[in-house]
Amino acid sequence: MTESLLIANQLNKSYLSAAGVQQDVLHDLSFSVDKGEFVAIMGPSGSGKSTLLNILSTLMAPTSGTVTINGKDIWQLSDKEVSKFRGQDMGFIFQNYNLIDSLTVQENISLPLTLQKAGAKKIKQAVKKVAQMLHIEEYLNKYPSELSGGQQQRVGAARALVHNPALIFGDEPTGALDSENAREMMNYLTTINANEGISIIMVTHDAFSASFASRILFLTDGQITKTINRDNQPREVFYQQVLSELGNFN
Amino acid sequence: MFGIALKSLRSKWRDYIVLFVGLIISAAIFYMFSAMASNKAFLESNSFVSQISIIFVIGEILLGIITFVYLNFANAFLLRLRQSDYGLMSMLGASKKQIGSLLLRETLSIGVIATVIGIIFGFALTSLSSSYLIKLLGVELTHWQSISVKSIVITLIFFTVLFLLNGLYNKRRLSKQDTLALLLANKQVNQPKVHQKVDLLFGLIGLALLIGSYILMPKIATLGMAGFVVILVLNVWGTYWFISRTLKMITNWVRQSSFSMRGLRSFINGQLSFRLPDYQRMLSSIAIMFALALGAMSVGQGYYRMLPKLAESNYPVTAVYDTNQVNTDNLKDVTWQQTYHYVKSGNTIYFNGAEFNANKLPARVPSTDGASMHTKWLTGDYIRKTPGSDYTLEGIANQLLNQSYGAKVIVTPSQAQMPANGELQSIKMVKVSDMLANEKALAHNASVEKKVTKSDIEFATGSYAGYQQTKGIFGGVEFMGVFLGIGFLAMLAATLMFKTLSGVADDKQRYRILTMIGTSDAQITRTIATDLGILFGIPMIIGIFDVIFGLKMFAPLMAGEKNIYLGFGPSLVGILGLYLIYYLLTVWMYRRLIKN
Repeated sequence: MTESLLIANQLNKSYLSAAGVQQDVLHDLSFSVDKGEFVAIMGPSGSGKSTLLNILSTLMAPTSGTVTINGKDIWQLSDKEVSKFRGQDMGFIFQNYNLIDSLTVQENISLPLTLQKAGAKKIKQAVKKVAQMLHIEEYLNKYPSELSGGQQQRVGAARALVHNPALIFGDEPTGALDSENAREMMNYLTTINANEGISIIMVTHDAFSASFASRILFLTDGQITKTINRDNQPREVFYQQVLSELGNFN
Repeated sequence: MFGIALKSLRSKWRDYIVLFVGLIISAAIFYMFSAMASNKAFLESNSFVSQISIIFVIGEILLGIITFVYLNFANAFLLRLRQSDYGLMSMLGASKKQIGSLLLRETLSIGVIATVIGIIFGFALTSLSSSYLIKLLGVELTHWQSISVKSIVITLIFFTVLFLLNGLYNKRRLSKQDTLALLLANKQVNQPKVHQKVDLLFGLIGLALLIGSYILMPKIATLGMAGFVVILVLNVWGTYWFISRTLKMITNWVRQSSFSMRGLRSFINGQLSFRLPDYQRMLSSIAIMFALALGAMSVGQGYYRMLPKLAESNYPVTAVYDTNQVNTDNLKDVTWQQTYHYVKSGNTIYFNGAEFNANKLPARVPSTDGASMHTKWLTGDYIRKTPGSDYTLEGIANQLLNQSYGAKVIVTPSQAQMPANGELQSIKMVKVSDMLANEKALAHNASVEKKVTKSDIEFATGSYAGYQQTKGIFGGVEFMGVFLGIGFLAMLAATLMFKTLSGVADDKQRYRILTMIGTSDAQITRTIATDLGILFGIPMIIGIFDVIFGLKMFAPLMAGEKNIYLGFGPSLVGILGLYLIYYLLTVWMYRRLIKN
């Protein structure tokens, strides 16, 4: 039996609107992700998928419920432990890349490691390794603003990978990319998932990107309304299944 | 259009508050200084010499220039705040002319409102700071008043004119930009361009110019006015190139070394290298202003602290008493004392030369090169034969006649030649080794003397009387040095604070990313403190070096190199204290803005 890496238990999130009305974004939501699993979360706009990802990745607190990662309730951690968790155990790939514009590509990728105070030699080796894997070695001394969107997204992925996290969160990682770059990015994620055993939880509205995952959760009005597994199907077949699910879904 | 303006005001109220506070501070400081400079009664009652009021006028001009520079920064900031709104208005169909007049009206109203609040703030600040400074410095100021109608008018006119000029300039600049450039104004990234060889060349030249100016500074006495101009040029360009190129060289070097591969060093280095192109002019002017502030305070305080030494160097004795009522037993460490006799006749004082032959009279004379003074012991015969050698006696004669000058001295060969009808009286001259240690006893003796002879200390001779006189004169100079120093510094630090806080929007995104990839709150605070610490530290360090070497230019004024640093220590502590407050305030505000 595979071990659970992440367990979300009865998550609720509600906001108070400007008019003073309570709005429920997530409603008693529970699920788990196994070690080495690649999970995609899909749903229409306003279904709560970004909120869910923010809660899972410690960026936003739930109104109630727990999130356990590697046996630790992440919302019981101190500020320092949360930072340590973000810096060591997780990587984050954002739709808008979120690279620091004042740092070169090399410096951007190194950040998670320099924050851990790793040695210079180790940092150089690790950056070289991910840069080779993502084909961005030639841009290492450039600034993010000198790169195309696809290149910037690969730098963002490199930064998420460089410190060998147990878990990578992706928030529409292909949202700003053209189809070719999107395919390439998803191939990278599949490769690191298969080769390095890194778990991936990704939010997307794109059926093509979602079809690279091993499991897809469909979210409607803050609740998981459907789960589909890829099992051993080829990706193209799974893609068709996702499309038809989306058709039913909408 | 008014709706858009109001909405923008609401969404950027923090930036507007920063702008407003900065303007209010600058108006308040300008008013404070103007209140002092335009207060004739205050100036006259606190300065013997009429030149002092000229120093105040020069001070006000300097302050005016700095205010001008400051308002330029403030208005550039205002334009930056509004640019994208103007772009939006332009896209919605407003004409350049409409937008231009809106900008002009906005600039003027912000300016006038801030100036009025600043003046009111200035009242309070003036009365608070002057009473504090007076207590701190131990100087006496009379005719000090916080509310001056003349200064209110001057401040209002000065600021309104500057805002009008700035508004017109902004309007012109705006009319040259197209709508798209305006809309994207806040989203442009200023990539630092690296030209390693050129940077290295200019960086080294900058360093060389700065060091060159330091080498020339002590030689100012021989170099003269031309030398001063050369030093100024070397220092200003040296500072600019040092900050713009040498620091760029350093950030490039750090970027490539493994030093930056730890914690958030690379981030801080990146921040600095990104800021430099935008900050280099400002940091250079702040370095120079920091030096001016510290220099003004050091010279003012140093001169004041040197007064006892100067007085001791100018007079052969500590005090001369015209009466036997004064008992000199209360004085400690008396190194020399002597009683001589005189006869007063009209405006002439007769001394017995034979007494000086028996007990020589001390006089302070300059050395042959004029650099120092030493005591020469004169006989009566020598004084009679050498015209102009009787200045010690002249001082005594004026004291005896209770006047500042004009007494006539005649030294007779013996008592027989002194006027027979006059009463033979005596004076007692006394010298102590440490005047300040005897200050209380000397003050007591002076008051006893005054009760009997009705003579004023203003006309008395001796180092104690000389010290008391100059203290009165230079207390005002010291006060102004400190006031100007604080004024300069308050404004320049506000400028830096202002500039840093106005860039917070760009930095916020960077810090947000840092938090998301695992930077703790404490690390963020430390990083901000270091980042801003470097920004505040660069001009401070250059400014301190400027003053350490620059004070050597004042060696002739301060009676030699050994005295030039007398006021440096306390001034440095005061200036750094104030600077630190600004720095901590900036870190605190910045941190809050980042967190929100």
